Amino acid sequence: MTTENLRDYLLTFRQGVSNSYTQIFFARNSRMGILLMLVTLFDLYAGLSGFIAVAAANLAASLSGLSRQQIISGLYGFNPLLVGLGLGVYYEPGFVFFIVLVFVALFTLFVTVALEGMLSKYGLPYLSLPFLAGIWIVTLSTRQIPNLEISERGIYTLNEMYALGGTPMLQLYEWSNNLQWPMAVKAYFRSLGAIFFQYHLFAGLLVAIGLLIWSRLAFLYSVLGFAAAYLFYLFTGIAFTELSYSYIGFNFILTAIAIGAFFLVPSAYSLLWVIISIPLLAFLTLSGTTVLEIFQMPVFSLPFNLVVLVLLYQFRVRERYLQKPGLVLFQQFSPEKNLYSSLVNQHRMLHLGKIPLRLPFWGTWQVTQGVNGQHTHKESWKYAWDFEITDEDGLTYQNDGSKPEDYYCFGKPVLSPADGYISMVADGIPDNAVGDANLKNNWGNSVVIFHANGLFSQLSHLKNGSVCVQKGQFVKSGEQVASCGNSGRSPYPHLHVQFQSAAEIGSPTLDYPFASYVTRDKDKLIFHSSDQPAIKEQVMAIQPHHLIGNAFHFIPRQELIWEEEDVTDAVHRWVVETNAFNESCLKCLETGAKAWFVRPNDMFMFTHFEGDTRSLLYQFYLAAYQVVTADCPSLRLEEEITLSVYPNRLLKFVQDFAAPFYRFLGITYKHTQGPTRNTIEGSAVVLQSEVTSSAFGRIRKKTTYRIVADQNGLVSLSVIVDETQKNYRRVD
Amino acid sequence: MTTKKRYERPVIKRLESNMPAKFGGRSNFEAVTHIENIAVGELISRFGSPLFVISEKRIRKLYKQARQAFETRYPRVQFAWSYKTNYLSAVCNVYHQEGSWAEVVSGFEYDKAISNGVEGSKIIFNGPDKTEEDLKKAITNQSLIHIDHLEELYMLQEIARSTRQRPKVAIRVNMDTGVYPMWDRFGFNYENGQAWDALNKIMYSGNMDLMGLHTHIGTFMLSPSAYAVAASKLAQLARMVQQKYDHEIKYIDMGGGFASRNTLKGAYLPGQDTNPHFDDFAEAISSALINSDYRPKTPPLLILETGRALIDDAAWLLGTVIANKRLSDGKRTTIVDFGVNVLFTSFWYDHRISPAQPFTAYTEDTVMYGPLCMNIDVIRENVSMPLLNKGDYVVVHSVGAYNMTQWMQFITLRPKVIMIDTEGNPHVIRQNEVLANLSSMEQIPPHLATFEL
Repeated sequence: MTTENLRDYLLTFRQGVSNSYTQIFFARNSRMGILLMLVTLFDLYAGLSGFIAVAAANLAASLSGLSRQQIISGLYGFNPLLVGLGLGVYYEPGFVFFIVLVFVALFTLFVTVALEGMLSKYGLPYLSLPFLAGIWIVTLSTRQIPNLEISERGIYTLNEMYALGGTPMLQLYEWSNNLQWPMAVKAYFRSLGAIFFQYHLFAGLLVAIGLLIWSRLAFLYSVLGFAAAYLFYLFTGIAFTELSYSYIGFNFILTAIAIGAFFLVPSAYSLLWVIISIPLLAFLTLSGTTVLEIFQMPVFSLPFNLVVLVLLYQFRVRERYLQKPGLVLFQQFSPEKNLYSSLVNQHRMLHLGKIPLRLPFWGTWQVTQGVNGQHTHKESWKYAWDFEITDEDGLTYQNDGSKPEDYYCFGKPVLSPADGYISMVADGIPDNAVGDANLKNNWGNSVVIFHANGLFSQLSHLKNGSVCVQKGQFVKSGEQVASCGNSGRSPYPHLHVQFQSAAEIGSPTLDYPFASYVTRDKDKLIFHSSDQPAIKEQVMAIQPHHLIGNAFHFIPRQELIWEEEDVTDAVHRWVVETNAFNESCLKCLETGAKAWFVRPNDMFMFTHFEGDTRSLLYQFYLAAYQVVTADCPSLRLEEEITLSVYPNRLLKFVQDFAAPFYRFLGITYKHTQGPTRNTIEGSAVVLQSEVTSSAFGRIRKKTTYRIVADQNGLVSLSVIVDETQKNYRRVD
Repeated sequence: MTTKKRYERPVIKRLESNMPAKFGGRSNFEAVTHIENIAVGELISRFGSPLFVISEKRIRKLYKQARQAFETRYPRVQFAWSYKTNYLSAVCNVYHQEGSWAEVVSGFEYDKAISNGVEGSKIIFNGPDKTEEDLKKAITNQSLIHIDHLEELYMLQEIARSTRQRPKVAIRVNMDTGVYPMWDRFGFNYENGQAWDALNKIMYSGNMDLMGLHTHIGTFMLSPSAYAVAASKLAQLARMVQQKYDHEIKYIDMGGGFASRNTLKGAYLPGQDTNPHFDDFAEAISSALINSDYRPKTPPLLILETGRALIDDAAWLLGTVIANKRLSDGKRTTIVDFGVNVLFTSFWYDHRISPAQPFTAYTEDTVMYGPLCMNIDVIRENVSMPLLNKGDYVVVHSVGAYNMTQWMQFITLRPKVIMIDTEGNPHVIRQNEVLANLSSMEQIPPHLATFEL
């Protein structure tokens, strides 16, 4: 084994262990991990047995060939950890105990893997179910093992504290015990500590700090959830001692974090669901305790597990109100990041998972009947569009409009919206005289193209004899299949387009968007990455801009080297990386910062940034946050950038608490594509963007960026703040 | 109160009692009293007579029509404004605002395009006479140089070698498109292999970038199908280059030559009714390109250099009747204040001329002469006009192309040119010439400075 391999293994091990601690709160945060580990070590043997359980489980997972990624993220370690902590508290350490512990950890791991397999089918997490299985089964069985001794620790806490840290520790403990805080507040912190089997205030305080370091929102929701539970107990008259004495208050805390902030995008709706979950948790706690008392076993986190699972399942199978509350689709293990990303990405990532179907024509056309249109786009056929061409005065024809040939759209090429096979062709139906309609052959001459299973496009009312493809033929996106005509139920020449689920002409339509087109609103061009054009809209099919497209075409392992102008030795080196999930990023070799990007239809988009915000890569992330790589001269884009990268940390810390309800910070991105039309080699394009961060509507910082690209790709990047301009030139 | 009736001279007309001709009984004339809602009389009283009037609105409208015709038929289209057609800066800039590049055919035009603010890489440099100095400038500016002959190709190679710059070039190709006359004096011939030979020379030179292929098959073309032939021949050349050198042509420049609404001399029917439209040319060109065998990754940019069809119908010439006369054979003549020196295109077209004031239904076949004291100064050899008096105004239609570049200062001075903007406000875009303009260029040797008579 080489040293490099060894270092790699150690890193994996360290991350796996640390994340196992934080994973209990769904987090991945190394500072929080250290803090939580410290908390567990208040009871040295319990802490040690927790650590041994994690180490054994992670090692076993690794040796048995389970997913390395899952091990690193702590998903296989946190249940064994909890079991280890629990057992460590109950039993005296000794050789037999540690042997038993290792096997219990393995057992918990196997249960984890099995539950993962069962639940992931439904898109559900296994939470701490494996822990419950482990600890209950083991507790019941170990009563029959005479060589395991019940621990007396936990009874003489002062002795233990002294042993741990001498007089100062004792004083700290005393201080925290003597705090004159209301009972509910104390109960909150005790419950937090109880998650790690530490039933005292001091541990709870440290856990709370860890929680705050990781996420302000998780902390906020845990407090709100616990407060609501307290009020509910008061209101219903259930003895609150139930909550503070038996320490199962953490069920409310964990549920509040899971439902309020982690699995759902934090919002007022998610808070509402936290409140709804409280009576359920209370019922389950009371009933669970009653049942398990028979076996002299605590209910542990059973209420939390059951409530979160049923609620999540319910959210997953919804078909309406999908944003109230919204599920987190791309988990970033931070409620803040999840919230801020979801705020900016709701309309940015519309193309996700869609096959790009482009407008089936060239040039600018007008929508004369849209979705749910007034004439024929109704019921099963409501997702359809009619297109015509209009002139400056809004007329669809020249001369007197008495012949189909007078209409601008008549005879114009009709293209395939995407790659596919021709699955149905109808031709030979004569074009109607203007004003007439052929109700017998309703769809007229038509072409149906197969793009994917269950996704067909239909182009109708085509010109008689114009269909230039055959059934079964493969067509490329943008290839001509026919010409616009006036056949079928078409009083005036127009093109009917619909996406449908079957190959037959006139199948029921699908609610599917067009990819990548431009609409004109007076002199303003609006780019739609994935949208459905509305009636009266002038829509323009766009063509890729090869200079911009080429400049933002990054090849894995490609290096980009930048030099600051007039500064010696200021070199920035980036490398293009792609991971196993085909996600790509630019990585700064100096700082390790990463800017993740995607290349959807005719666009380049940075999705998120991680690492040093003083790096040049961060400036580039802002400068090219969203770029349209198609030919849209003088296009203006305006986007919001995620608040996760807000420059002032203090303001952001405050904002985090209020973020689901009120946002006073903002980062806006404005982007202009210069007059780039039809540039061919030899010319350069200039992309200009402006990033403004503001607080309470007042601009705090404004940075202007200029990116220049030519046929060799990116050429230069200028960063202009106030009067100072820094220029970077690509030198690779 | 009764208004005084306008005097109209008596006219004798033969009574025709037989069947009317197949074109109907008589021509319908309409007075053109206003241009873009401004009275002709007002324009002349403000800016003088004769006067060229250009409508910005009409230019933009024609441009949009042309653009739409091509852009709805082909994915990538670019127009390049043909400077020689009308290089008044105001006119050029309207096209540049609409997105047109510049197409120039001389060093002077090239400099004009640059001074108008056109980026070098968006200037197409055509023509048989490009000097070494012109070429060097164009190469530095990364303009697109369309090579006309081998001498130019060799000169470019030499400059590329000595300056270590790579010229961006295309060749102009001439070919048989089935129309007469065949324009084979410009560029390299397709059928005899010269074009292919030139392309090979460029590709083998290693120091030039072959960007495109250019043709310009003629002028005032009345047959769109000729363009289809030309487009498929260029596509064929592009395919040959792709096959042999794995090199993709970036653009195909189909030149111009589209007919305007004017009527060529000798045409049987009025051009307004018979000349093909943008749509006809666009259909021919784009379907030929799309259906060709040339299938590169990105379709080549289709460049169009049409000038005449875009500007001709956006300009009018206003003039005033000087006198009426009767010739020896009894034919009526009218003398107007603009001659062939100003309306150069009257050598090619039977211009449509309208009176600018209302008149009765009576017309008379008339010869329309200009004011020059030269026998060639004939504006229309035979035009049926109402009975005009001295001081009446006339409007000549479709004069935007070539007149304001080919006009000459001869006997009379060149008149003002105004442009009516889209809001309806007239702007002088070129002042009329005065004596000082001409004398400023002259130098008199001292011994000729004075004389006595």
